[in-house]
Amino acid sequence: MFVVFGALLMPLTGVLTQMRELGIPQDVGWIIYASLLVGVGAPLLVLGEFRRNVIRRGNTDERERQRRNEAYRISYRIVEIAIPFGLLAALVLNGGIEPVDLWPALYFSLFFYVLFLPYAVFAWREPDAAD
Amino acid sequence: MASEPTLYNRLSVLRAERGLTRQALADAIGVNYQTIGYLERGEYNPSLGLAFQLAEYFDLPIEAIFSREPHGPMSTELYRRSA
Repeated sequence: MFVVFGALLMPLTGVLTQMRELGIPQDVGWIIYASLLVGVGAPLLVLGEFRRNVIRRGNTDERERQRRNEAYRISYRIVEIAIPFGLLAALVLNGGIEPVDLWPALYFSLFFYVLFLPYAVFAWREPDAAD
Repeated sequence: MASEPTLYNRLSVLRAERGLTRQALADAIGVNYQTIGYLERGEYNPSLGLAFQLAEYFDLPIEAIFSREPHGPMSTELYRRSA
């Protein structure tokens, strides 16, 4: 859940940044931002609930849940370290916040990074099946 | 993080005795068949609930299936008890 929200916030914040650059008033920008958040977030949450309650029900046992939760915990630790360092590196390499052209690429990179990292960690930690 | 203590079990022997596949045991217990493999190899320690489920399924006390010490051959233990 936190991964989905975190992943949503980053690209949407990037969109908001671009709206400000385009001269769209801040109030209108926030309404568009909130609409996008709800419009994109709600279907994703519904999809997540469907996947969790319908598709995976009966297939996920305690070992798999334990592995998945471990993967999330490790991912959060990696993300909470990697994101500040990544942003700092971007700022240093870019010589400051401007130009903003960098930010959408950065947001989308982080979007995919945060979204798929738990799955990568899960796959990485899953031992090869002996048979 | 402290590593989990090793828990030995006789699941593979009990399963073989009854001619069960991993899939059949997994279906009976309600877990993924891969989890049975992880349990048998000692790569995963079951929850208390799952341990009880397995004990009830095999109609044995938990300590007959799971142990903190390595199990000896079941035939040897049975022979000693009957002798």
